[in-house]
Amino acid sequence: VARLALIVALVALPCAAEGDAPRRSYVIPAIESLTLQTGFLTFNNLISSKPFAQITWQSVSSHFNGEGHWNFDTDNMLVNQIGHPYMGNLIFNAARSSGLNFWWGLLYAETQSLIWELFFEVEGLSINDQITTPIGGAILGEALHRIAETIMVDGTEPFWTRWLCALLVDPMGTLNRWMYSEDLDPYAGTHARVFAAFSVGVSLGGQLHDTVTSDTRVTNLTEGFIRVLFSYEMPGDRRPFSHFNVDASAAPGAMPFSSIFVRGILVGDGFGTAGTRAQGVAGLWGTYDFAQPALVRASSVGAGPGGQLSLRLTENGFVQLTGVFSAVPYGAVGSLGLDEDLYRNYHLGPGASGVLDLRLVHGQAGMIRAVVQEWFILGEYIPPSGYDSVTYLTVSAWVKLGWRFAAVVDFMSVWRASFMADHTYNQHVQGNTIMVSLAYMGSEDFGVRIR
Amino acid sequence: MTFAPVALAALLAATPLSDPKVRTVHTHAAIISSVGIAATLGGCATLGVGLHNQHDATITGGAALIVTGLNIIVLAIFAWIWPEPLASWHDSP
Repeated sequence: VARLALIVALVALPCAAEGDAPRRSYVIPAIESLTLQTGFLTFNNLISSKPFAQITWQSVSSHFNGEGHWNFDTDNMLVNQIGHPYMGNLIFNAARSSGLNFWWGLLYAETQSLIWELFFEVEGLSINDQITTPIGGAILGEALHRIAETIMVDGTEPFWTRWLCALLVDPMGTLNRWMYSEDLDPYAGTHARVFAAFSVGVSLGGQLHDTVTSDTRVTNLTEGFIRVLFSYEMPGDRRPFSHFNVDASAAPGAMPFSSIFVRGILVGDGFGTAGTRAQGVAGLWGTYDFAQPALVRASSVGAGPGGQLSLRLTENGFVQLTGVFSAVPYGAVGSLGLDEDLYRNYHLGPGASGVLDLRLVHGQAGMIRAVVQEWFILGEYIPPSGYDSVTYLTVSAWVKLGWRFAAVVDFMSVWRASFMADHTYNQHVQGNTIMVSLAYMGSEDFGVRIR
Repeated sequence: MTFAPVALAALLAATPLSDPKVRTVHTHAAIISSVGIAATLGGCATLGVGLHNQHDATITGGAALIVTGLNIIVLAIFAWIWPEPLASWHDSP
Protein backbone atom coordinates (compact mmCIF):
# COMPACT_ATOMS: atom_id res chain seq x y z
CA VAL A 1 0.00 0.00 0.00
CA ALA A 2 2.85 2.37 0.88
CA ARG A 3 4.57 1.64 -2.44
CA LEU A 4 1.35 2.26 -4.37
CA ALA A 5 0.82 5.55 -2.51
CA LEU A 6 4.38 6.62 -3.33
CA ILE A 7 3.93 5.78 -7.01
CA VAL A 8 0.61 7.67 -7.15
CA ALA A 9 2.35 10.71 -5.61
CA LEU A 10 5.17 10.50 -8.16
CA VAL A 11 2.61 10.17 -10.95
CA ALA A 12 0.71 13.24 -9.81
CA LEU A 13 3.75 15.53 -9.62
CA PRO A 14 4.85 15.64 -13.28
CA CYS A 15 1.28 15.45 -14.57
CA ALA A 16 0.34 18.66 -12.79
CA ALA A 17 2.92 20.51 -14.89
CA GLU A 18 2.24 18.85 -18.23
CA GLY A 19 -0.35 21.40 -19.43
CA ASP A 20 -0.84 21.50 -23.18
CA ALA A 21 0.82 18.17 -23.94
CA PRO A 22 0.34 15.89 -26.96
CA ARG A 23 -2.46 13.36 -26.86
CA ARG A 24 -2.14 10.62 -24.28
CA SER A 25 -4.48 7.78 -23.49
CA TYR A 26 -5.12 6.17 -20.13
CA VAL A 27 -7.65 3.67 -21.51
CA ILE A 28 -5.63 2.12 -24.36
CA PRO A 29 -2.82 0.76 -22.10
CA ALA A 30 -5.41 -0.60 -19.65
CA ILE A 31 -7.15 -2.56 -22.43
CA GLU A 32 -3.82 -3.65 -23.90
CA SER A 33 -2.63 -4.89 -20.52
CA LEU A 34 -5.81 -6.89 -20.07
CA THR A 35 -5.39 -8.25 -23.61
CA LEU A 36 -1.85 -9.38 -22.80
CA GLN A 37 -3.04 -11.11 -19.66
CA THR A 38 -6.00 -12.89 -21.23
CA GLY A 39 -3.79 -13.83 -24.19
CA PHE A 40 -1.21 -15.30 -21.82
CA LEU A 41 -3.98 -17.14 -19.94
CA THR A 42 -5.28 -18.52 -23.24
CA PHE A 43 -1.80 -19.76 -24.24
CA ASN A 44 -1.19 -21.43 -20.89
CA ASN A 45 -4.56 -23.20 -20.97
CA LEU A 46 -4.71 -24.29 -24.60
CA ILE A 47 -1.06 -24.69 -25.62
CA SER A 48 1.25 -25.27 -22.67
CA SER A 49 -1.44 -26.59 -20.25
CA LYS A 50 0.22 -25.08 -17.20
CA PRO A 51 -1.48 -25.93 -13.88
CA PHE A 52 -1.18 -22.33 -12.64
CA ALA A 53 -3.51 -21.17 -15.42
CA GLN A 54 -6.39 -23.58 -14.68
CA ILE A 55 -8.33 -20.89 -12.86
CA THR A 56 -11.78 -21.47 -11.36
CA TRP A 57 -14.21 -19.40 -9.30
CA GLN A 58 -12.78 -21.17 -6.25
CA SER A 59 -9.19 -20.23 -7.11
CA VAL A 60 -10.15 -16.59 -7.54
CA SER A 61 -12.19 -16.47 -4.33
CA SER A 62 -9.29 -18.11 -2.45
CA HIS A 63 -7.30 -14.92 -3.07
CA PHE A 64 -9.94 -12.91 -1.21
CA ASN A 65 -10.88 -15.23 1.66
CA GLY A 66 -7.35 -15.78 2.99
CA GLU A 67 -6.78 -19.31 1.66
CA GLY A 68 -4.42 -18.18 -1.11
CA HIS A 69 -2.68 -15.61 1.06
CA TRP A 70 0.40 -13.54 0.22
CA ASN A 71 3.63 -15.57 0.26
CA PHE A 72 6.87 -16.17 -1.67
CA ASP A 73 6.29 -18.56 -4.56
CA THR A 74 8.47 -21.53 -5.53
CA ASP A 75 8.70 -20.86 -9.27
CA ASN A 76 12.09 -21.32 -10.88
CA MET A 77 14.48 -18.41 -11.13
CA LEU A 78 14.10 -17.91 -14.88
CA VAL A 79 10.31 -17.49 -14.60
CA ASN A 80 10.50 -15.21 -11.58
CA GLN A 81 13.47 -13.07 -12.52
CA ILE A 82 13.20 -12.91 -16.33
CA GLY A 83 9.60 -13.86 -17.16
CA HIS A 84 7.89 -11.52 -14.72
CA PRO A 85 10.05 -8.46 -15.40
CA TYR A 86 9.58 -9.03 -19.14
CA MET A 87 5.78 -9.15 -18.71
CA GLY A 88 6.00 -6.01 -16.58
CA ASN A 89 8.02 -4.38 -19.36
CA LEU A 90 5.26 -5.09 -21.91
CA ILE A 91 2.62 -3.46 -19.70
CA PHE A 92 4.93 -0.57 -18.83
CA ASN A 93 5.57 0.11 -22.51
CA ALA A 94 1.87 -0.12 -23.40
CA ALA A 95 1.54 2.91 -21.12
CA ARG A 96 4.73 4.66 -22.27
CA SER A 97 3.78 4.39 -25.93
CA SER A 98 0.34 5.80 -25.13
CA GLY A 99 2.01 9.03 -24.07
CA LEU A 100 2.22 8.37 -20.32
CA ASN A 101 5.36 9.04 -18.33
CA PHE A 102 7.68 6.64 -16.49
CA TRP A 103 5.79 6.80 -13.19
CA TRP A 104 2.44 6.17 -14.87
CA GLY A 105 4.01 3.18 -16.60
CA LEU A 106 5.20 1.88 -13.23
CA LEU A 107 1.69 2.35 -11.81
CA TYR A 108 0.15 0.40 -14.70
CA ALA A 109 2.68 -2.43 -14.24
CA GLU A 110 2.04 -2.47 -10.49
CA THR A 111 -1.75 -2.52 -10.91
CA GLN A 112 -1.81 -5.09 -13.69
CA SER A 113 0.54 -7.34 -11.73
CA LEU A 114 -1.92 -7.22 -8.82
CA ILE A 115 -4.82 -8.02 -11.18
CA TRP A 116 -2.83 -10.98 -12.54
CA GLU A 117 -2.14 -12.29 -9.04
CA LEU A 118 -5.79 -11.92 -7.97
CA PHE A 119 -7.62 -13.23 -11.02
CA PHE A 120 -5.34 -15.06 -13.46
CA GLU A 121 -3.37 -17.53 -11.35
CA VAL A 122 -4.41 -20.55 -9.31
CA GLU A 123 -1.44 -20.20 -6.95
CA GLY A 124 -1.45 -18.06 -3.83
CA LEU A 125 -0.66 -14.37 -4.09
CA SER A 126 3.05 -13.94 -4.73
CA ILE A 127 4.92 -11.19 -2.90
CA ASN A 128 8.05 -11.57 -5.02
CA ASP A 129 6.07 -11.34 -8.29
CA GLN A 130 4.41 -8.15 -7.05
CA ILE A 131 7.91 -6.68 -6.50
CA THR A 132 9.83 -7.90 -9.56
CA THR A 133 7.06 -7.53 -12.19
CA PRO A 134 6.52 -3.76 -11.84
CA ILE A 135 9.96 -2.64 -10.66
CA GLY A 136 11.98 -4.92 -12.93
CA GLY A 137 9.45 -4.26 -15.70
CA ALA A 138 9.77 -0.48 -15.42
CA ILE A 139 13.58 -0.50 -15.31
CA LEU A 140 13.90 -2.97 -18.18
CA GLY A 141 10.98 -1.33 -20.01
CA GLU A 142 12.28 2.23 -19.97
CA ALA A 143 15.65 1.05 -21.28
CA LEU A 144 13.97 -0.91 -24.09
CA HIS A 145 11.59 2.00 -24.81
CA ARG A 146 14.52 4.37 -25.34
CA ILE A 147 16.56 1.82 -27.31
CA ALA A 148 13.61 1.28 -29.67
CA GLU A 149 13.24 5.04 -30.07
CA THR A 150 16.93 5.35 -30.90
CA ILE A 151 16.68 2.56 -33.47
CA MET A 152 13.67 4.14 -35.18
CA VAL A 153 14.62 7.80 -35.02
CA ASP A 154 18.40 7.77 -35.31
CA GLY A 155 19.01 4.60 -37.31
CA THR A 156 20.25 4.97 -40.89
CA GLU A 157 19.17 1.51 -42.05
CA PRO A 158 16.08 0.95 -44.27
CA PHE A 159 12.76 1.64 -42.52
CA TRP A 160 11.58 -1.96 -42.41
CA THR A 161 14.79 -3.23 -40.75
CA ARG A 162 14.60 -0.49 -38.13
CA TRP A 163 10.91 -1.22 -37.60
CA LEU A 164 11.59 -4.96 -37.21
CA CYS A 165 14.41 -4.34 -34.72
CA ALA A 166 12.24 -1.90 -32.76
CA LEU A 167 9.41 -4.47 -32.76
CA LEU A 168 11.73 -7.08 -31.25
CA VAL A 169 13.05 -4.65 -28.62
CA ASP A 170 9.78 -2.92 -27.70
CA PRO A 171 6.80 -4.84 -29.15
CA MET A 172 4.03 -2.89 -27.44
CA GLY A 173 5.48 0.52 -28.26
CA THR A 174 6.16 -0.36 -31.87
CA LEU A 175 2.67 -1.83 -32.37
CA ASN A 176 1.01 1.26 -30.86
CA ARG A 177 3.03 3.58 -33.08
CA TRP A 178 2.23 1.47 -36.13
CA MET A 179 -1.46 1.42 -35.20
CA TYR A 180 -1.62 5.23 -34.98
CA SER A 181 0.71 5.72 -37.94
CA GLU A 182 3.10 7.97 -36.08
CA ASP A 183 5.29 10.20 -38.19
CA LEU A 184 8.91 9.56 -37.36
CA ASP A 185 11.02 12.51 -38.32
CA PRO A 186 14.67 11.53 -37.91
CA TYR A 187 15.70 15.18 -37.83
CA ALA A 188 13.25 16.36 -35.16
CA GLY A 189 13.88 16.62 -31.46
CA THR A 190 16.99 15.99 -29.43
CA HIS A 191 19.10 12.98 -30.22
CA ALA A 192 20.56 10.56 -27.72
CA ARG A 193 24.28 9.91 -27.53
CA VAL A 194 24.61 6.18 -27.75
CA PHE A 195 27.42 3.67 -27.64
CA ALA A 196 26.23 0.25 -28.83
CA ALA A 197 28.52 -2.74 -29.29
CA PHE A 198 27.47 -6.17 -30.53
CA SER A 199 29.92 -9.00 -29.83
CA VAL A 200 30.16 -12.60 -30.98
CA GLY A 201 32.69 -14.77 -29.22
CA VAL A 202 33.71 -17.86 -27.32
CA SER A 203 33.80 -18.48 -23.60
CA LEU A 204 36.76 -20.74 -22.89
CA GLY A 205 35.02 -22.51 -20.03
CA GLY A 206 36.47 -22.96 -16.59
CA GLN A 207 35.70 -24.47 -13.23
CA LEU A 208 34.08 -23.44 -10.00
CA HIS A 209 36.13 -24.63 -7.02
CA ASP A 210 35.04 -25.08 -3.44
CA THR A 211 37.28 -22.62 -1.60
CA VAL A 212 37.21 -24.74 1.56
CA THR A 213 37.87 -28.25 0.17
CA SER A 214 39.36 -27.25 -3.24
CA ASP A 215 36.98 -29.75 -4.90
CA THR A 216 35.70 -28.94 -8.36
CA ARG A 217 32.00 -28.12 -8.05
CA VAL A 218 31.01 -27.15 -11.61
CA THR A 219 32.84 -27.43 -14.93
CA ASN A 220 31.74 -24.94 -17.57
CA LEU A 221 32.26 -26.05 -21.16
CA THR A 222 33.66 -23.96 -23.96
CA GLU A 223 30.73 -22.38 -25.79
CA GLY A 224 29.84 -19.49 -28.05
CA PHE A 225 27.99 -16.40 -26.91
CA ILE A 226 26.61 -13.11 -28.14
CA ARG A 227 26.67 -9.91 -26.15
CA VAL A 228 25.29 -6.39 -26.33
CA LEU A 229 26.66 -3.36 -24.52
CA PHE A 230 24.48 -0.25 -24.73
CA SER A 231 25.33 3.07 -23.07
CA TYR A 232 22.85 5.92 -23.46
CA GLU A 233 22.83 9.61 -22.64
CA MET A 234 20.17 12.17 -23.59
CA PRO A 235 21.65 15.67 -23.21
CA GLY A 236 19.43 18.10 -21.31
CA ASP A 237 16.97 15.39 -20.35
CA ARG A 238 16.06 15.17 -16.65
CA ARG A 239 13.49 12.40 -16.95
CA PRO A 240 14.10 8.87 -15.65
CA PHE A 241 16.73 6.98 -17.65
CA SER A 242 18.26 10.03 -19.32
CA HIS A 243 21.45 8.06 -18.58
CA PHE A 244 21.47 4.29 -18.56
CA ASN A 245 23.58 1.26 -19.33
CA VAL A 246 22.57 -2.22 -20.47
CA ASP A 247 24.90 -5.23 -20.54
CA ALA A 248 23.28 -8.40 -21.89
CA SER A 249 24.65 -11.71 -23.10
CA ALA A 250 23.23 -15.02 -24.26
CA ALA A 251 24.75 -18.46 -24.72
CA PRO A 252 23.20 -21.73 -25.96
CA GLY A 253 23.63 -23.41 -22.57
CA ALA A 254 21.78 -20.69 -20.70
CA MET A 255 19.01 -19.52 -22.99
CA PRO A 256 17.30 -17.15 -23.19
CA PHE A 257 19.80 -15.04 -21.29
CA SER A 258 23.12 -15.66 -19.66
CA SER A 259 22.93 -12.27 -18.09
CA ILE A 260 21.28 -8.88 -18.28
CA PHE A 261 22.34 -5.92 -16.16
CA VAL A 262 20.40 -2.64 -16.41
CA ARG A 263 21.12 0.54 -14.47
CA GLY A 264 19.65 3.97 -15.12
CA ILE A 265 19.19 7.25 -13.34
CA LEU A 266 15.66 7.82 -11.97
CA VAL A 267 15.95 11.23 -10.36
CA GLY A 268 19.03 13.42 -10.61
CA ASP A 269 20.95 16.01 -12.55
CA GLY A 270 24.16 16.50 -14.46
CA PHE A 271 27.20 18.47 -13.38
CA GLY A 272 30.07 20.04 -15.28
CA THR A 273 29.35 22.46 -18.12
CA ALA A 274 30.36 21.94 -21.73
CA GLY A 275 34.09 22.41 -22.24
CA THR A 276 35.11 21.45 -18.71
CA ARG A 277 37.37 18.46 -18.07
CA ALA A 278 35.01 16.76 -15.60
CA GLN A 279 31.37 16.09 -16.34
CA GLY A 280 28.82 13.64 -15.10
CA VAL A 281 25.48 12.91 -13.51
CA ALA A 282 24.42 11.95 -9.99
CA GLY A 283 21.20 11.05 -8.23
CA LEU A 284 18.93 8.12 -7.49
CA TRP A 285 19.42 5.14 -9.81
CA GLY A 286 17.33 2.05 -10.50
CA THR A 287 18.87 -1.36 -11.15
CA TYR A 288 17.69 -4.69 -12.52
CA ASP A 289 20.14 -7.60 -12.68
CA PHE A 290 19.96 -11.20 -13.77
CA ALA A 291 22.92 -13.56 -14.17
CA GLN A 292 22.38 -17.21 -14.92
CA PRO A 293 25.53 -19.27 -14.10
CA ALA A 294 24.72 -22.25 -11.84
CA LEU A 295 25.98 -21.86 -8.27
CA VAL A 296 26.84 -18.19 -8.60
CA ARG A 297 23.70 -16.87 -10.25
CA ALA A 298 22.26 -13.64 -8.95
CA SER A 299 19.27 -11.43 -9.63
CA SER A 300 17.78 -8.36 -7.98
CA VAL A 301 15.77 -5.20 -8.44
CA GLY A 302 16.71 -2.12 -6.48
CA ALA A 303 17.26 1.60 -6.23
CA GLY A 304 19.88 3.74 -4.56
CA PRO A 305 22.37 6.57 -4.87
CA GLY A 306 24.85 6.61 -7.71
CA GLY A 307 26.80 8.72 -10.10
CA GLN A 308 28.84 8.77 -13.26
CA LEU A 309 31.96 10.90 -13.66
CA SER A 310 33.80 11.39 -16.95
CA LEU A 311 37.24 13.03 -17.10
CA ARG A 312 39.30 14.14 -20.06
CA LEU A 313 42.94 13.26 -19.38
CA THR A 314 44.51 14.04 -22.76
CA GLU A 315 43.31 14.87 -26.27
CA ASN A 316 42.33 11.22 -26.81
CA GLY A 317 42.43 9.87 -23.27
CA PHE A 318 39.34 9.62 -21.09
CA VAL A 319 38.36 7.93 -17.89
CA GLN A 320 34.82 7.23 -16.73
CA LEU A 321 33.75 5.86 -13.36
CA THR A 322 30.17 4.82 -12.59
CA GLY A 323 29.09 3.68 -9.15
CA VAL A 324 25.62 2.66 -8.01
CA PHE A 325 24.73 1.25 -4.60
CA SER A 326 21.19 -0.07 -4.33
CA ALA A 327 18.84 -1.14 -1.60
CA VAL A 328 17.29 -4.40 -2.77
CA PRO A 329 13.72 -5.17 -1.66
CA TYR A 330 13.93 -8.60 -3.25
CA GLY A 331 16.94 -10.50 -4.51
CA ALA A 332 17.57 -14.13 -5.44
CA VAL A 333 21.00 -15.74 -5.53
CA GLY A 334 22.77 -19.03 -5.90
CA SER A 335 21.53 -22.57 -5.79
CA LEU A 336 20.56 -24.69 -2.78
CA GLY A 337 21.26 -27.97 -4.58
CA LEU A 338 17.55 -28.85 -4.86
CA ASP A 339 15.43 -30.07 -7.79
CA GLU A 340 14.28 -26.83 -9.43
CA ASP A 341 11.14 -28.47 -10.84
CA LEU A 342 9.93 -29.29 -7.34
CA TYR A 343 11.45 -26.76 -4.97
CA ARG A 344 12.63 -23.19 -4.79
CA ASN A 345 16.29 -23.74 -5.56
CA TYR A 346 17.72 -20.35 -4.67
CA HIS A 347 18.24 -18.13 -1.71
CA LEU A 348 15.94 -15.10 -1.55
CA GLY A 349 15.58 -12.07 0.61
CA PRO A 350 16.15 -8.35 0.94
CA GLY A 351 19.66 -6.95 0.79
CA ALA A 352 21.89 -4.63 -1.16
CA SER A 353 23.76 -4.59 -4.43
CA GLY A 354 26.51 -2.45 -5.86
CA VAL A 355 28.33 -1.91 -9.12
CA LEU A 356 31.52 -0.06 -9.98
CA ASP A 357 32.29 0.37 -13.68
CA LEU A 358 35.65 1.90 -14.65
CA ARG A 359 36.49 2.66 -18.29
CA LEU A 360 39.89 3.87 -19.45
CA VAL A 361 39.54 4.94 -23.05
CA HIS A 362 42.03 5.97 -25.70
CA GLY A 363 40.09 7.22 -28.69
CA GLN A 364 42.52 5.71 -31.23
CA ALA A 365 43.57 2.50 -29.46
CA GLY A 366 40.74 1.04 -27.41
CA MET A 367 39.46 0.61 -23.88
CA ILE A 368 40.31 -1.12 -20.63
CA ARG A 369 37.17 -1.76 -18.60
CA ALA A 370 36.83 -3.17 -15.09
CA VAL A 371 33.43 -3.94 -13.56
CA VAL A 372 32.83 -5.13 -10.00
CA GLN A 373 29.34 -6.27 -9.04
CA GLU A 374 28.24 -7.42 -5.61
CA TRP A 375 24.94 -8.81 -4.34
CA PHE A 376 24.45 -9.24 -0.60
CA ILE A 377 21.20 -11.04 0.18
CA LEU A 378 19.77 -11.79 3.61
CA GLY A 379 17.56 -14.84 4.13
CA GLU A 380 15.03 -13.01 6.25
CA TYR A 381 11.86 -13.59 4.20
CA ILE A 382 11.80 -17.39 4.36
CA PRO A 383 14.16 -20.21 5.45
CA PRO A 384 17.01 -20.95 5.16
CA SER A 385 18.08 -18.00 7.25
CA GLY A 386 21.55 -16.57 6.83
CA TYR A 387 23.23 -14.41 4.23
CA ASP A 388 24.73 -14.82 0.82
CA SER A 389 27.39 -12.79 -0.96
CA VAL A 390 27.99 -13.08 -4.71
CA THR A 391 30.74 -11.05 -6.39
CA TYR A 392 31.63 -10.71 -10.08
CA LEU A 393 34.82 -9.07 -11.30
CA THR A 394 35.20 -8.59 -15.05
CA VAL A 395 38.28 -7.00 -16.64
CA SER A 396 38.03 -6.39 -20.38
CA ALA A 397 40.52 -5.19 -22.97
CA TRP A 398 39.07 -3.71 -26.18
CA VAL A 399 41.54 -3.19 -29.04
CA LYS A 400 40.36 -1.27 -32.09
CA LEU A 401 40.85 -3.10 -35.37
CA GLY A 402 39.39 -0.44 -37.67
CA TRP A 403 36.06 -0.27 -39.52
CA ARG A 404 34.32 0.00 -36.12
CA PHE A 405 35.47 -3.49 -35.17
CA ALA A 406 37.32 -4.33 -31.98
CA ALA A 407 38.91 -7.47 -30.54
CA VAL A 408 37.78 -8.04 -26.96
CA VAL A 409 39.28 -10.24 -24.24
CA ASP A 410 37.39 -10.59 -20.94
CA PHE A 411 38.71 -12.14 -17.77
CA MET A 412 35.89 -12.91 -15.36
CA SER A 413 36.23 -14.02 -11.78
CA VAL A 414 33.32 -14.95 -9.49
CA TRP A 415 33.01 -15.62 -5.77
CA ARG A 416 30.12 -16.81 -3.65
CA ALA A 417 30.10 -17.19 0.10
CA SER A 418 26.95 -18.20 1.95
CA PHE A 419 26.59 -18.46 5.69
CA MET A 420 23.32 -20.21 6.60
CA ALA A 421 21.98 -21.32 9.94
CA ASP A 422 21.56 -24.73 8.29
CA HIS A 423 25.15 -25.49 7.20
CA THR A 424 24.07 -28.00 4.55
CA TYR A 425 23.14 -25.05 2.32
CA ASN A 426 26.47 -23.26 2.66
CA GLN A 427 28.47 -22.67 -0.50
CA HIS A 428 31.97 -21.23 -0.73
CA VAL A 429 33.01 -21.26 -4.37
CA GLN A 430 35.26 -19.36 -6.72
CA GLY A 431 35.90 -19.59 -10.45
CA ASN A 432 37.53 -17.89 -13.41
CA THR A 433 36.63 -17.68 -17.10
CA ILE A 434 38.25 -16.11 -20.14
CA MET A 435 36.16 -14.95 -23.08
CA VAL A 436 37.34 -13.73 -26.48
CA SER A 437 35.07 -11.96 -28.94
CA LEU A 438 34.82 -9.69 -31.93
CA ALA A 439 32.75 -6.54 -31.40
CA TYR A 440 31.06 -4.25 -33.89
CA MET A 441 30.59 -0.76 -32.47
CA GLY A 442 27.96 1.78 -33.51
CA SER A 443 30.34 4.58 -32.55
CA GLU A 444 33.94 4.74 -31.42
CA ASP A 445 33.80 6.64 -28.12
CA PHE A 446 33.10 3.59 -25.90
CA GLY A 447 30.31 5.46 -24.17
CA VAL A 448 32.64 8.04 -22.59
CA ARG A 449 31.66 11.52 -23.70
CA ILE A 450 33.01 14.94 -22.87
CA ARG A 451 31.09 17.79 -24.45
CA MET B 1 -23.59 -9.20 -26.38
CA THR B 2 -20.48 -10.93 -27.68
CA PHE B 3 -21.07 -9.80 -31.24
CA ALA B 4 -21.97 -6.18 -30.48
CA PRO B 5 -18.33 -4.98 -30.77
CA VAL B 6 -17.95 -7.05 -33.95
CA ALA B 7 -21.01 -5.36 -35.46
CA LEU B 8 -19.78 -1.92 -34.38
CA ALA B 9 -16.36 -2.64 -35.89
CA ALA B 10 -18.00 -3.63 -39.19
CA LEU B 11 -20.14 -0.48 -39.14
CA LEU B 12 -17.12 1.74 -38.54
CA ALA B 13 -15.17 -0.05 -41.27
CA ALA B 14 -17.90 0.87 -43.74
CA THR B 15 -17.71 4.59 -42.86
CA PRO B 16 -16.34 6.70 -45.79
CA LEU B 17 -12.90 8.26 -45.21
CA SER B 18 -11.25 11.44 -46.39
CA ASP B 19 -7.90 12.27 -44.72
CA PRO B 20 -5.12 9.92 -45.98
CA LYS B 21 -3.55 9.83 -42.52
CA VAL B 22 -6.85 8.84 -40.97
CA ARG B 23 -7.33 6.30 -43.75
CA THR B 24 -3.99 4.68 -42.84
CA VAL B 25 -4.96 4.42 -39.17
CA HIS B 26 -8.33 2.97 -40.16
CA THR B 27 -6.62 0.43 -42.40
CA HIS B 28 -4.51 -0.64 -39.44
CA ALA B 29 -7.64 -0.74 -37.29
CA ALA B 30 -9.29 -2.99 -39.88
CA ILE B 31 -6.33 -5.38 -39.72
CA ILE B 32 -6.47 -5.41 -35.92
CA SER B 33 -10.25 -5.90 -36.05
CA SER B 34 -9.79 -8.93 -38.28
CA VAL B 35 -7.37 -10.42 -35.76
CA GLY B 36 -9.83 -9.67 -32.95
CA ILE B 37 -12.79 -11.15 -34.83
CA ALA B 38 -10.78 -14.27 -35.69
CA ALA B 39 -9.73 -14.66 -32.04
CA THR B 40 -13.32 -14.18 -30.84
CA LEU B 41 -14.72 -16.73 -33.28
CA GLY B 42 -11.86 -19.13 -32.47
CA GLY B 43 -12.61 -18.68 -28.79
CA CYS B 44 -16.30 -19.45 -29.35
CA ALA B 45 -15.40 -22.63 -31.21
CA THR B 46 -12.88 -23.64 -28.54
CA LEU B 47 -15.37 -22.94 -25.77
CA GLY B 48 -17.92 -25.07 -27.58
CA VAL B 49 -15.48 -27.95 -27.86
CA GLY B 50 -14.57 -27.57 -24.19
CA LEU B 51 -18.20 -27.59 -23.07
CA HIS B 52 -18.94 -30.61 -25.26
CA ASN B 53 -15.99 -32.54 -23.84
CA GLN B 54 -16.36 -31.09 -20.32
CA HIS B 55 -12.65 -30.23 -20.36
CA ASP B 56 -11.90 -27.41 -17.91
CA ALA B 57 -8.66 -26.14 -19.48
CA THR B 58 -10.34 -25.90 -22.91
CA ILE B 59 -13.35 -24.08 -21.43
CA THR B 60 -11.11 -21.60 -19.57
CA GLY B 61 -8.82 -21.19 -22.59
CA GLY B 62 -11.77 -20.67 -24.95
CA ALA B 63 -13.36 -18.08 -22.67
CA ALA B 64 -10.02 -16.29 -22.29
CA LEU B 65 -9.58 -16.30 -26.07
CA ILE B 66 -13.02 -14.71 -26.52
CA VAL B 67 -12.13 -11.96 -24.03
CA THR B 68 -8.77 -11.48 -25.79
CA GLY B 69 -10.50 -11.13 -29.15
CA LEU B 70 -13.08 -8.69 -27.81
CA ASN B 71 -10.33 -6.61 -26.20
CA ILE B 72 -8.51 -6.42 -29.54
CA ILE B 73 -11.72 -5.31 -31.25
CA VAL B 74 -12.24 -2.61 -28.62
CA LEU B 75 -8.67 -1.38 -29.29
CA ALA B 76 -9.49 -1.18 -33.01
CA ILE B 77 -12.70 0.72 -32.28
CA PHE B 78 -10.66 3.24 -30.29
CA ALA B 79 -8.43 3.79 -33.32
CA TRP B 80 -11.46 4.21 -35.57
CA ILE B 81 -13.17 6.76 -33.36
CA TRP B 82 -10.02 8.63 -32.23
CA PRO B 83 -7.41 8.20 -34.99
CA GLU B 84 -5.19 11.09 -33.83
CA PRO B 85 -1.61 9.97 -33.13
CA LEU B 86 -0.55 9.37 -29.57
CA ALA B 87 2.35 11.37 -28.13
CA SER B 88 5.40 10.52 -30.16
CA TRP B 89 8.61 9.08 -28.80
CA HIS B 90 10.11 12.57 -28.81
CA ASP B 91 7.08 14.04 -27.05
CA SER B 92 6.73 11.31 -24.43
CA PRO B 93 6.95 13.01 -21.02
